[in-house]
Amino acid sequence: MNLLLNEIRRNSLLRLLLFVPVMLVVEHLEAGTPTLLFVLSILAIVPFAALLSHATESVATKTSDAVGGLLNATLGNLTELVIALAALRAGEYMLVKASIAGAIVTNSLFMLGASFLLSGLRHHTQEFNSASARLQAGQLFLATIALLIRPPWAQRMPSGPWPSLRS
Amino acid sequence: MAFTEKLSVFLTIVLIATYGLGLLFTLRTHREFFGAAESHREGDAAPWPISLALGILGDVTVLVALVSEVFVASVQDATHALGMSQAFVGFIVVALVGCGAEMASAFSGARKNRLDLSVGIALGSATQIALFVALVLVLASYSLGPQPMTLQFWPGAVLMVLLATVTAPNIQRRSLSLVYWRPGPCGLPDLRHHALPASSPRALRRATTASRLNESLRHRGRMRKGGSMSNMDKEKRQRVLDPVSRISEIIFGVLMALSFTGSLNAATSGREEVRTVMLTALGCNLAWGLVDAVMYLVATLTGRARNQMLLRMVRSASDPQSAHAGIAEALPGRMGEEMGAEGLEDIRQHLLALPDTPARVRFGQDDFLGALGVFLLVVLSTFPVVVPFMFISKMALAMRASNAVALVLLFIGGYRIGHYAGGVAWRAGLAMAAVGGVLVSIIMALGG
Repeated sequence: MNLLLNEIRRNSLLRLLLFVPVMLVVEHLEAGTPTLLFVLSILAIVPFAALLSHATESVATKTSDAVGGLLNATLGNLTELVIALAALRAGEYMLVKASIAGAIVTNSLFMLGASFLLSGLRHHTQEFNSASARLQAGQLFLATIALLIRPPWAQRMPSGPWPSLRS
Repeated sequence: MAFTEKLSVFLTIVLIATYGLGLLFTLRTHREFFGAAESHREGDAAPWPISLALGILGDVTVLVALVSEVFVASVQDATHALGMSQAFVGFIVVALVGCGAEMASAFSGARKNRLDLSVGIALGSATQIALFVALVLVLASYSLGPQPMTLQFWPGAVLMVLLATVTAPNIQRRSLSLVYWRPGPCGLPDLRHHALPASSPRALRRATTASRLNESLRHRGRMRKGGSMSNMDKEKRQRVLDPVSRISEIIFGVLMALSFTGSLNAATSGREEVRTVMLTALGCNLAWGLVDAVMYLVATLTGRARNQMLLRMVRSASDPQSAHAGIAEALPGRMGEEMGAEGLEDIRQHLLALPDTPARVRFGQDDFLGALGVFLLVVLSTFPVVVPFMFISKMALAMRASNAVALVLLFIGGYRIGHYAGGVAWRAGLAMAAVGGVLVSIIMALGG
């Protein structure tokens, strides 16, 4: 428990944990509008994501390299998986698909680019293992191609780059 | 539809298998190639004991599930009230919330110069979503969801994801090449940039390099003294961007616009869709122009800092030999070896004779002009490709015209680069046009 408190003191993201009880109370009393609940639940998920990723890392460092790598590789995006599963149960397929596409774009463009920028501003020469980066970029491209294949006879999606509100 | 579902399931299984094999490859059979990314894995925070970590993992997962139930239940009404679309919430909000923690550790790694960690997190997480999470969701939809989910995305998402995955590996290559190939306009010359033909006599080479160094160092000294630089200004401004980077920015912009217009379907697209695609292409090039301009500034700063490092190293070196080694390393290719000791000594003397440089490198006016130039080139190169759609009402004709304009532009760009590089110019032009043609056909085949 002490460790947990230390972690909360160190990581400012975890202060958002305060929103969890607030959200539960609001939800239980049915006092808030959906908009309030929406904002509160987003704020409550953020610290959970931080906790989950730290817990995964901890388990990964305590086990052997291979098991740790496997854990990181399967549980690394647990938060997203759980949110998407909830959306899946509710039949909100547009939300699920958009979150998949959004996560790929955010990770591979925003996160990568911002990291390069941040690192480049402070350190002038940067090194990274290009072998693993190449492998992952290759896998990513393969997956994208496979995800995006649409047989020509398949039903056309609603036209226009953005779908209507419900699909 | 039944066939599409079967295809979805089949692809899903194949991709999960690919992911598994990739893990086997990186974690087991060829571990030694991927060591660096893993050895940095331990975060800066002390790891928790395993029982606590496992407990948190279990409890928090349940809590997240509870909270996301509330989130999903409220999402419909809330998005309606806030005026957002579901797609926006999924694309931006869920993605940011899910990646927030990872982003924090990637950025802190980047700030501590552990780029390995950041790149590993960013690309690893994207790969994991595409190859694992998405597919688990498809399989889960068979038992959890009201009906099976296929992996059909709307065209906008297809384009965005495709562009992201095509550019992600490119950014790495580009950023490295930016560091090495952008000339520093008013700093020390980027020595690697001024590669000379290997056949020229040694004396000439030495003289040229020395005079280039000399000239630009003189310029630098003058700037530092705050004296007038008006006469230097004009000739400097003309080479703020060298021909290769100018042309490649244009080609980049054209290809980008091409990838958007290529996704239009000549037979079925309505005016509305054409308008949206045009705006998207323009917006995308605006964004990329901005990114490129910022990267240009970063690269300029980087190059200049490196040159200063060289200068400082040469000055503080205890003996000429170690200074020579540093200079030789900064010269392109094998030039350092071929120049011999007296050539290197020549450069060293020049460097030593320079006035003191400021401790911090900073941007000059020319750098911002260069960045502006990069931005404008990328943005403006959208227009030739898009303009035919504005003036030709027949869809198929407009598309052919736009493609033809793009191919001609690519050919000219390739021709100029080929000419500049001293190769066979028309062959380079044809190759560049062919690349454009292949790109268009790939985009068409992927079904825009």
